[in-house]
Amino acid sequence: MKRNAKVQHIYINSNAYGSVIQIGDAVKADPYIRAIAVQKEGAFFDTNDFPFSAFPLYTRPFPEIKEESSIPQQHHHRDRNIHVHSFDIEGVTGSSIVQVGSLKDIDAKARLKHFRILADEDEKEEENDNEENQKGRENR
Amino acid sequence: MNFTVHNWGLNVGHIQITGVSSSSVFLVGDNETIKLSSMFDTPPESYIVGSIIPFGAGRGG
Repeated sequence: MKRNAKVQHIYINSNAYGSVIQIGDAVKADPYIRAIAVQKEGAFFDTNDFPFSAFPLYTRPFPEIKEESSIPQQHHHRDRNIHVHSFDIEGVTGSSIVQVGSLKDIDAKARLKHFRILADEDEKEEENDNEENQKGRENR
Repeated sequence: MNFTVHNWGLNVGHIQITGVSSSSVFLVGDNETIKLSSMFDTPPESYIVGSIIPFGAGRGG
């Protein structure tokens, strides 16, 4: 038999992107997330610019953990309670799990890729020149 | 090997966490098996300077 988890107070500020806050027992969870994070100078974004299919990161297999070697073991729950007075979490995100209660099997996977795109310095100068010219013309 | 666990009292005060992210787990309770895998990539090719996104088959990884 499993133990009872007892928590007096929980504060969670935000829960996003397929994450779970669970109170109670569960048997299995296998969350999976794939994400592309694009940080780009300039305001124009197109969802089709970065398809998952263009990057091997999203298809390469995870190293498989072979069947866990079972060690004969006995657990004696002399006190059947797990007491946690309180917990504060600022953010739960990206297919993650916060749970009070038992969770027998967990198999979580994440694939994340970052891009940083900066504007060309020369082009930025050109743009600035153009803007200045424009302003000059307006002032005239 | 014989592995024996005696769970006497488990009492925790306060837990402060900034973030739980990318398929990670914060669990107050019992568990049998746990597998957490993550692939994270910020390669040099992902740092792009230019107005047009240079993009095509075989780029990036």
